[in-house]
Amino acid sequence: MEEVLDRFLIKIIFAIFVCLILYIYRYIHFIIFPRGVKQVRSPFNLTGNLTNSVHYLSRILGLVILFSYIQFNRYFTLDVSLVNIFLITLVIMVTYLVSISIMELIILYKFNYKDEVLKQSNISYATICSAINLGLAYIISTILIKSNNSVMIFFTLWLFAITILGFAGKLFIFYSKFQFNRAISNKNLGVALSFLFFFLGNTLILVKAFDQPQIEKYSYMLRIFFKCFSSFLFIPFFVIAIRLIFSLKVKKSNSQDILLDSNKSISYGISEGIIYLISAFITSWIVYNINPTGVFSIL
Amino acid sequence: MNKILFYVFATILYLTLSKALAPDNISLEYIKTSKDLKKFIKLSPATAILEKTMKKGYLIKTYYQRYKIVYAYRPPKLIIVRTKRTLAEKTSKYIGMSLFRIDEDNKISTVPMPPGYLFIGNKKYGRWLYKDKIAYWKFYQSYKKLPQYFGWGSFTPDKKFLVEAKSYEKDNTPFLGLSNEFGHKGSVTNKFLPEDTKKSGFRRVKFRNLFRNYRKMNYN
Repeated sequence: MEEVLDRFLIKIIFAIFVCLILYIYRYIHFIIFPRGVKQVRSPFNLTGNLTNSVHYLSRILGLVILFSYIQFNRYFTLDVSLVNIFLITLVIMVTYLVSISIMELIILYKFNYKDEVLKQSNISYATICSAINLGLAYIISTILIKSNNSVMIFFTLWLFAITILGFAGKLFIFYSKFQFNRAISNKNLGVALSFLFFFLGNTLILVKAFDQPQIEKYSYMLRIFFKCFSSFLFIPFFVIAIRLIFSLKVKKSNSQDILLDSNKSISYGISEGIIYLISAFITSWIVYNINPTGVFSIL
Repeated sequence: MNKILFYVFATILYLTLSKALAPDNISLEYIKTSKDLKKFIKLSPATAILEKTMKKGYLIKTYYQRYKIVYAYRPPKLIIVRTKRTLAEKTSKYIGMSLFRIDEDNKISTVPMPPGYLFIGNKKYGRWLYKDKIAYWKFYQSYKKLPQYFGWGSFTPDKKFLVEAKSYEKDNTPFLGLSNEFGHKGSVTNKFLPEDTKKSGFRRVKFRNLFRNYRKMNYN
């Protein structure tokens, strides 16, 4: 019974501690994104601006996904454990926010939060930001596990992952029929949904690439690079194959409406995104589940 | 059209970078001929004994060879190299034999010869012992482990063996031993070569056994 009570009490302390960390997040967010002062410091009206809610809550969701991978270590005393977790969460929080900032600079360099969310309520922009937040959360959590508590390895892998993901994000213009920047300016939700699945597909590829034995840092990173590279070569093949196999086509008469009609653009965006995600899953199967080294046979 | 060009360019770039940088490729050295084994041997005298020839790949094969480099003055070293098909196939019948030798004067020979041929008859490493008027080669105490490294087991070369081997080498003809003791069908090689050199990574399973295995695994 004592053991059960002890564990229960620790859970309560841990829960309060997590709330404290989340509270700190509000202010760290304010330091890194000064443009969102209003969003962070004043009470948040959930019914006021849907775009703002999506943008804000998706960041918190990403952060919480990230936190869920941190382990509470019972080998230490309670105070040491809490300080340990506090330091790790602080580093992760800053890394997460800096990653978002970098990724937005790479992908959404023509837009900014103030204009798109606060002034224009651009849901397309907010959805793309959400995709970036969730994708980054999964990537950073994977890196966190793979770095085995080494800060140097964590930052090296983080930089590496951000570079690959940023480059992969730029490939969206090759994949999609939507004109990315123009469609976002026009608040086209189709492009945002397509990008959401596209980014999650890329995240899946990268997370799978990280999931391999780490023996030596240099060769580990090279392996990740080549796995991602070969994945990005196979995805277009599967995109075309799936479209051909299941006869997925857009009627010629509708091809221009995709960019203009909001319903059709949403429908097209979702289909385009899901096809990419399906291709990403099959690609990850092809690239990661075939034994890469093979076996020797005696001549 | 631009997309296709980009894709083709990316594919070529991937293959080129893979060839140049992929950890699987850069970790193993490539040899074209037996003479290229020189780059692995830092000291002389030494001999490289072929232990295993392997291939990997379903459609496009890559060939590998495992050599044991035996030095006179230091412990032996195992190396695995990539090689070309012709060399792999040509040398596959010389398993357990010395494919490369470098003597004290840095003179190189690549005619396939029995392992340890380089050291037989050299008075620095041993001497001839006479038994029933036949001279047998015996290594000195300091080099007593060499026969073990060569994979000789109970085999002891005699003078006739050395004379015959020398004449074969002069004619650039591989010598498998007086009664074919060495090579892939050699009695000594098959008996004393390490067990792992005979094992294949492939599990050869017939179709009917595959289904039988499924049945056994699930219903027995």
